[in-house]
Amino acid sequence: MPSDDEGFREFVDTRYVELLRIAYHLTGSVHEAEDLLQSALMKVLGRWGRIDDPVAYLRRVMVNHLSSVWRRQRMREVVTSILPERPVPDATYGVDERQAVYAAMRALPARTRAVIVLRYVADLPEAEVAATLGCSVGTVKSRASRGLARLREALDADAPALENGRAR
Amino acid sequence: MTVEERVVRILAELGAEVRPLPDPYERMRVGLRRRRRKRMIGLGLVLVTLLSASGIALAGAAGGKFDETADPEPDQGWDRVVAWTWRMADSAPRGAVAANAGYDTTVAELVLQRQRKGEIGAVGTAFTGARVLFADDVGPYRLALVALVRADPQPHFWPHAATWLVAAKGAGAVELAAGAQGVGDALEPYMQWYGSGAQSTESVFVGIAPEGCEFETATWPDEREWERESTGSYLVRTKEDRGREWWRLRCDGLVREVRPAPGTVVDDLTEAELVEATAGVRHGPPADAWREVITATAQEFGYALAGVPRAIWAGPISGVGGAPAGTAEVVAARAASGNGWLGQVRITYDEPDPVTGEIGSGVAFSMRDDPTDPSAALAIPLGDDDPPKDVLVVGAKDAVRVSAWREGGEIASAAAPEGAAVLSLPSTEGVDFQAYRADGSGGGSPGLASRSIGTPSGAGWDR
Repeated sequence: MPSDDEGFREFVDTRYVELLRIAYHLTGSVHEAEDLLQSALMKVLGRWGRIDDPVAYLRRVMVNHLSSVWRRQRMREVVTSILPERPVPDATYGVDERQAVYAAMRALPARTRAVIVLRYVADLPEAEVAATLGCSVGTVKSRASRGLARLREALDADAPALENGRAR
Repeated sequence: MTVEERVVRILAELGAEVRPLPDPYERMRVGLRRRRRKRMIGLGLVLVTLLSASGIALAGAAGGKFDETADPEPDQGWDRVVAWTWRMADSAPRGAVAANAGYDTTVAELVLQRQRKGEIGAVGTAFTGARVLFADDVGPYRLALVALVRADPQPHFWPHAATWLVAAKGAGAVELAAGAQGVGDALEPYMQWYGSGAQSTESVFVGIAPEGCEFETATWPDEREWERESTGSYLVRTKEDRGREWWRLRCDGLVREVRPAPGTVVDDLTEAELVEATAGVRHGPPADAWREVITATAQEFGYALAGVPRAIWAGPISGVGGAPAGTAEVVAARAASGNGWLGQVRITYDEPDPVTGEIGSGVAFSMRDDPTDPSAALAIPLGDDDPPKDVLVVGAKDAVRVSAWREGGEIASAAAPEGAAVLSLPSTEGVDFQAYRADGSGGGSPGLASRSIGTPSGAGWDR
């Protein structure tokens, strides 16, 4: 169990990138991800030393924060077909594919997106996703299924362009 | 490659390009300091609103410098908060163990030494001294609160830092100082510690305020009978006496803090609780779909609720104030204060708001009559207008039309095929709301619900 503020600094230094990527997929924006993770870390600092699994706790804080507070505040979440805020390396096959998944992720309901992120980015088992979201494993399964179906549709829609090997 | 594998790969590629801004830890500390300053300045207003709304009268001041009733200017408010922190820092040590002055001095010196060696955080911050403000055996732990005096106080920042020490019950000074939790940015006028230490899984609570303040407690959920705590300016709870109760803190004749004890009426919603909570739903999805909003509402309101929130209605609603249309969920529970009911309408938009990007909104409400009674209509204000203009009218079960009446005449109506609809009016002053079934029968709402800001807790150190 972590015990002091220095331990917390070390934790932040070593786990920040991993957590930021989860936050990024939850929010769709590097800027929003930084805000979300920073807010979550502030909450964790007050409980540091009393949390057995800080990473799991942070995931829960981020998802709950996104579900409860952000839904009432300014979400700045707009469905878009382009990737904002990040340089796109090349106009190649993979870019189309990533754009399709990015846009489809943004269009998912927040809780479904959270399931996809926790299951396929954080690589958590279904039971742990359920525990993080405070729902049943059945709900996780159904949301994951619906979410994957939407992502598959997005990839399928993108397929003709990919087959032609051209970037849009 | 399966769809799952493909999605995992693409998500990993997207995430791989994300790079953090420099020094995330220091940015968080700066943000925390900024947030604390804002919070302390703003909470005074919240307290007055909450206490007034919940019928708790602010006692007349006994005179002196904290007797203003007008809202303070922000700087004035901050100055008063800081004055209270000095009173806190200069207070005599509380707790049986703290009565041993030699022990306190040793603990304080050891904590200061550890800070200077960089062992407990606040590295690079100079402190001129340290004092034990509380030390006692609480449950399986020995707990202490130590204040550290900044050598270079800044005008708009806390003059003291603080650290809680946690060790095994009966620990000596060295062992206790070794249990420092890390130096926090602020010694605030009210400090509390709630949780468990490495020695046990038992959670205990300690709250402490400046000398001269008085803790009062009342049984939960009905907070009408306030009794002074024998410990005076601090409060201790262990598993033997920790439960559902109200706390408040009175200093210089004013209530400075009022809050339910930490906790929620729903730790883990059982199937039986879910079935009962959804038994009276007028319209909406199957029981399992209500689990999240019921749990979230219980956690957001805490012990301000007397029981598990009950599902009332869910269905499509039109957009309000230019927001997109969406799905609303209405839940409510009896207020722990005994003054009616507390609830919320949670709206999830069909599409994100094209202007603000919001994906939903929510409105907390309170009302005197039971909104879970399926035979009665209820009217809940939406939006920010005062008086409200947009009202969600939920009819009794099987209602198909809702309407608004003023002075005996119908001024607005809407079809409610799902049992509820939003009525938008120039004003709701003097308006009654009605809902009708297909056969023309029906009834009115007992009144327009009031907006609520949720959990009745707050702090008022800035006046």
